[in-house]
Amino acid sequence: MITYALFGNPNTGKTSLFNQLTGSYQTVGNWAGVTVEKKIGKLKGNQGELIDLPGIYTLNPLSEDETVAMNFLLQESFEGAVNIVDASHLEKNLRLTVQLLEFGRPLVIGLNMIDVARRRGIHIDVVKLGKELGAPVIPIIARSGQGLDQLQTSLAQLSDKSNRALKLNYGDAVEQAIENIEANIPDDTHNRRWLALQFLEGNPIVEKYLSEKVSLDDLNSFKQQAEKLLNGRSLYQHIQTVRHQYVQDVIRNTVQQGDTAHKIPLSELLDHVFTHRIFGIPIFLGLMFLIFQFTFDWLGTPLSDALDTFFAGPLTGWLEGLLGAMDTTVFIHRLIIDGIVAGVGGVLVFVPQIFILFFFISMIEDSGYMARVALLMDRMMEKIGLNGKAFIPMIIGFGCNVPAVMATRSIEQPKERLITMLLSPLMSCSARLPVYALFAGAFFAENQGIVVLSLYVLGIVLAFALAKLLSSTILRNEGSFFVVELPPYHAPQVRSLIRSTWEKGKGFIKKAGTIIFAGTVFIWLLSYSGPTGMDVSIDESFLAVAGQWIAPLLAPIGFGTWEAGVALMTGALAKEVIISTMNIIYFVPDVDTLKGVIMASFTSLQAYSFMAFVLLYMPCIATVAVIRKESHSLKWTLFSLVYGLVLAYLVSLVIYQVGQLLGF
Amino acid sequence: MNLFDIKEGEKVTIISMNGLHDSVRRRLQHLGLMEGSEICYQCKVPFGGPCILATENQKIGIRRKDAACIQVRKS
Ligand SMILES: Nc1nc2c(ncn2[C@@H]2O[C@H](COP(=O)(O)OP(=O)(O)OP(=O)(O)O)[C@@H](O)[C@H]2O)c(=O)[nH]1
Ligand SMILES: [Mg+2]
Repeated sequence: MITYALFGNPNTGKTSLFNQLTGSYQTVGNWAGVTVEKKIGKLKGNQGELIDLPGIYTLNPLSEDETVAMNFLLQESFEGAVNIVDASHLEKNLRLTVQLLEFGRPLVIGLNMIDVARRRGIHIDVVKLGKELGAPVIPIIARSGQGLDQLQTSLAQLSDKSNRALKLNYGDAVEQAIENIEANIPDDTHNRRWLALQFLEGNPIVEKYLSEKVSLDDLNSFKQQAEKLLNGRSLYQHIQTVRHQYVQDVIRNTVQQGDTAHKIPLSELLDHVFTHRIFGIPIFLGLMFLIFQFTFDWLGTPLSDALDTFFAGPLTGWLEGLLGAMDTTVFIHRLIIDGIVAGVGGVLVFVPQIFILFFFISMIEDSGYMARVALLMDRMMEKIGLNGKAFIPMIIGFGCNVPAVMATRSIEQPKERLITMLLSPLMSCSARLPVYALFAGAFFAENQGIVVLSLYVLGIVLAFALAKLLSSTILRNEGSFFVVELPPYHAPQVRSLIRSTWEKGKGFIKKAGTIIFAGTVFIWLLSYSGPTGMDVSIDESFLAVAGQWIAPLLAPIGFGTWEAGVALMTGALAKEVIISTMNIIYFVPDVDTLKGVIMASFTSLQAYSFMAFVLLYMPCIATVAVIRKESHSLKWTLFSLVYGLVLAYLVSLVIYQVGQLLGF
Repeated sequence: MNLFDIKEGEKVTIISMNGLHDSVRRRLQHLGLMEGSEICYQCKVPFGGPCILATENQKIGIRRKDAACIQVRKS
């Protein structure tokens, strides 16, 4: 199988190209660091495999996601590489290109975003650029698919002889050192001059790679010799300067900067508003509030009510007719109607809300606002020992905690990354949303948006407090730092927004068909059977027995009923299952009736305490698994499980007890 | 003179970034900022929050205390 790999600076459109060429979907977003792991796709027309990688500025990585790309380059084999270059930032991008050309493997350069470059009056002589660099350069617009045919043709024509490794002259001292080091390295699959150069630059990954083959002592002495001859400049700086000069020469020969008057005035204007010195943060909070209003009040509730009516009416009627015609046993009939339709259907009615929320998250991701939020939040994040970029995983976490944990890879400081990872489960993900929609809809129908917003804020505030605690005790941090690129705003395209919403939301529907379905069947069986046999009354079922055992523990926090206890226990599987369980145990035909039933068994204060508990009490299984994988630590994984339970109990206790004192 | 002494919106040239934390300097270099780069300094976020360095075609947010470590001259 022929394999091609995508390399390029962050936010240059690699994943957009990957999606176009493979027909699959990976997340695209307008900020640096969207892709954090290697993704493999099949090229259309069976032409081989394409590999999408995190963006890198140089081969010398600073963060975990950049390390992934560099490790791939060094450790895995591929037939050709595509270097995606942002035509509107040619100088910055070409510095990586130089290193890839020095690497010497067959390379095609995809000159992306030529639409943006054109708008800014940048004219690039593509043919000449290709000649100067010694590699084919294909102008493309990855977002719309323009130029991709030529790119694929050019890829198919690549062969081992396609391009010779680029050789810049680094001056006598360095050239001597390169020669000496090359002579010391045994034959290698990689270009030895490139290895030598990367070593001299101080690339830790290449250092490690070489240390497995030769003793570094000799190499280090060559390095010191060369450094001595540079009159106080570091080798690193020197090598950068030579490359910079080369890039500038190339640009002088191939690029014409036309009229610079078109200076993206709209983007500037938007920044005046969104990063306004006083209104920036209030605007952010206001936008979040609007999102919740749309999701819960204005748009979401009417839609899910309609769906509920459909499930409870026509769908159930139709199914009952079908089951009657098939003459099924009572057991099967009840399993399907009282179990599956009630349990799975009871969760599926919230699909509209979840999709609306995902739609807005996709919009934030693709517009360029994400980086601005990181900027706005940095001051606050600095105070708690993190940096503004840690807020990006938190926003992603509102959709789902699993990609949030992954997204922490772009945080450079390992300890900041760990803290952010551990706290991402406190971000209220879409799986908690059905619980809020049900309880807030029942108890706080007048101001659902604000009540739900308060829960999201509660999660954030607690995450901040814990971050402060961790960063000033066990995970004390040396020198946090913050540098963020603010890309120009993009008007999100309707097509890609719909695609992105669907790709996020389909996970929920899949979950309904798998884990929620299985959980529902299991729970229904436990509600149907009991210590005394089958078809028992619900109060004598196994469920009730299990719930009664846990109920006294929950009494101090406001919901000491066996029903609440059992719902929370099953919710450890996936938080949506809480709703399935309630539908089954309260034995109701639709969400409206369920709202009535829970209003009879909870007070508003108890309901709020319950929602807070659900928000905090533990990450779902998938999140625990990804924390385990990303933290490489059993200890921290257990921590993430335990602190949630403790925190949830304490917070609900305070809410309920203080609330009672205040007379709610 | 460091970036701190500059009025907002003024165009300046970087003369030294040596005072910066190594990782910050490297990141800024990745983004194309180095000695000789021309930048425009915009302070944005209140309460001592970060500020924005704008070059010809891109914007970068950094902390104010780091901005104070960048030596510049008027251009
Ligand atoms: N105008 C324009 N926008 C583009 C083009 N290609 C991609 N984009 C946009 O650029 C942004 C970044 O695209 P991605 O495909 O996520 O970039 P990436 O290189 O994978 O980014 P990382 O994963 O962060 O390294 C998105 O908002 C895209 O919609 C293009 O040719 N023209
Ligand atoms: Mg990507």
